[in-house]
Amino acid sequence: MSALGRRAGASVLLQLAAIAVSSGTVLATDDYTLPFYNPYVTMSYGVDRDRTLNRQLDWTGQVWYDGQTHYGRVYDQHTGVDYPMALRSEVAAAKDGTVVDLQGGYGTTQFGSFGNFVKVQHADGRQTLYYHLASSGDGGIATWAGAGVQAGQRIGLSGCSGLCYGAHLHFEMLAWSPAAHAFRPVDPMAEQRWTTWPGRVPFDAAYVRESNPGTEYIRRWQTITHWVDFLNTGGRPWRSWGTVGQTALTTWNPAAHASGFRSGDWPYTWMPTLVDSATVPPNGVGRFTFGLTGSPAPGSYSEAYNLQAYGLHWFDYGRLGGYYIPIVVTP
Amino acid sequence: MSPSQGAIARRYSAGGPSIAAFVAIPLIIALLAAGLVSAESPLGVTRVSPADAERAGSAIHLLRRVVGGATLVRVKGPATGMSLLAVSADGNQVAIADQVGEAFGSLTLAETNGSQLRIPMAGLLAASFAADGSWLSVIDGRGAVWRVDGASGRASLLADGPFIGSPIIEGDGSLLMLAVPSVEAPYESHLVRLGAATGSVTRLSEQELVYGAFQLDGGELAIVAHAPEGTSVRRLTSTGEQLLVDLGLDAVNVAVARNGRVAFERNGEVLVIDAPGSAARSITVGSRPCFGPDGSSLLVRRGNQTLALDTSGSELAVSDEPAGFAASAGCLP
Repeated sequence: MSALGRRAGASVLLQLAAIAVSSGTVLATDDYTLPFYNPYVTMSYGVDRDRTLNRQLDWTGQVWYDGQTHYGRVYDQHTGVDYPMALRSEVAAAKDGTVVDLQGGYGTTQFGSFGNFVKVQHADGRQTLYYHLASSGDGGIATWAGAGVQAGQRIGLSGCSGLCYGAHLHFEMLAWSPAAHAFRPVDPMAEQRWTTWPGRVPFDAAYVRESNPGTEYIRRWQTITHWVDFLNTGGRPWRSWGTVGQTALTTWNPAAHASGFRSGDWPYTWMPTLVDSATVPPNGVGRFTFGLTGSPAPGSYSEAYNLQAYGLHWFDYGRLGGYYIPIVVTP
Repeated sequence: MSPSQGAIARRYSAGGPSIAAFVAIPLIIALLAAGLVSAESPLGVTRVSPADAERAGSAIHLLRRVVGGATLVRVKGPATGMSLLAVSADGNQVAIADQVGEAFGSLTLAETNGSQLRIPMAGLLAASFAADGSWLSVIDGRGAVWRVDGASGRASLLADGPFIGSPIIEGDGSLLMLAVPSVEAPYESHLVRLGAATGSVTRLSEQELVYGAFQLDGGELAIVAHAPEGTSVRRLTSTGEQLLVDLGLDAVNVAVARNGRVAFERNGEVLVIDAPGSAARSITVGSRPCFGPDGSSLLVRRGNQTLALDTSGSELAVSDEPAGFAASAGCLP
């Protein structure tokens, strides 16, 4: 019996319940996602939707007249959403787009400078801005002006450059304002139609079930079929098509190692399969079906697998429940 | 144009917000309790005599020294971490923030005779003295600009902004500043003039992201502009903007001297371009270069020190305290 299979059931039910409560009314399949990968990061300050000095309208609709900071809500004149995170944490594009501007010349923690940033133009006319990044020399900028980026693609590392009082990512969404004839901040949380509300990292999954949650017994040179279902708890749809970003089941520990159990249907020695369905939306369950061939010498084995948005990012293996298959190859 | 006009550029003390607030606030309370300071109008403004400041351990000394033909003013204060915001044209006054940024703080005007005027502000980002030192323009933590009277400390709001950068004060009291949609994430900034008489804001630059503005000999302005393809220095003329120097990618903290010499920072080095068309040459390791009044000397930050250099990179002076050039507003590395 797989350890994973035994422990996964309760946690999946809890996650499904949490999703039902928190996902709001709309969860579009091509929506914006949180601009980082760590699902434990939470917002510290949101957008002040009232541009009047000393009057703050926070994302819940509450108005403050004190000009003070209110943790979890807002501070006066704030134009983005702040996410505290460790220096040099990975920052991801919130949606497909094109990099239209960036700066990486300031020091990672150079206080009082203009600060390092990446700005991305999206097809829906909006822009997203990622501010206070680490310096280029520190790996803070992982893209270039004019580059196309995919949702969930790493574009840089967090820092504390500019007017910054502790490492965080300032994420800002901009929409064209005909009145100002310029892009101006909007509040992705208050609009409640983005997966930034209540918040989904791009790539996340939870184990649901598998064809055999116990040990697979395979006669030497025999090929058996195994499948596993994962719940898409991220903000991006999973897909099996395209050239980059397909959702793949891959070998793990070590990552992308050549497997001795590769069967003829595997795309690569380290990738048993892409997700079976063309698309699996957020909250959907994706199945991964693949063969296992008993090539190794008879004995007991354990093969670990993780998910990957191909060419973009590995999933958090721990949040998959540490998925592995116990395998016994018999003579 | 006034002789004290200087540069718009965002310059704060390196090392982040000051810890001086933790010292200053209890100190003020103690001084009030001891009757050492007078709580006179305007409300909240306190004046501290040299003797009282010495007695309370809050004395601020201005140490003046001529370096490379310019007056370098070093500020020796009661606590480390205070942020020097501005030096007056004659070098006899400085403006100091107990902390830079959004949070409520106080602006201290300190004079060479040791007297101090402390003015509560809603955060502090930048300040500049008028040519005669009689008043300052101060940008608070949310980007609003204030006129602060140097004698009484009375502060009057001029415009909500938000603005950033040390304002350039023109002869008629008009202000040149950078208007931004956000002080924290200035993805867009324009050089604007806030008219003294009208209070109207007029955009002066065409570029979408202006990092600084500097006055040139002859009265023209130079701006430092960022674009996706790199950073450039441009001259503002009556007919538009003229490219002076293309600095390429990753050039930051750019300063332009009155004589057109350019200094900037790239990958932890300070480089100088003597004239348009000249090659950039590295003169030292450091950051945040800025020029003295005639462009023949500059200040740079290296760690916690401020270095005065000539344009070949030779050291003229080293200061462990915050320091700035007189008659070169905005030169505060």
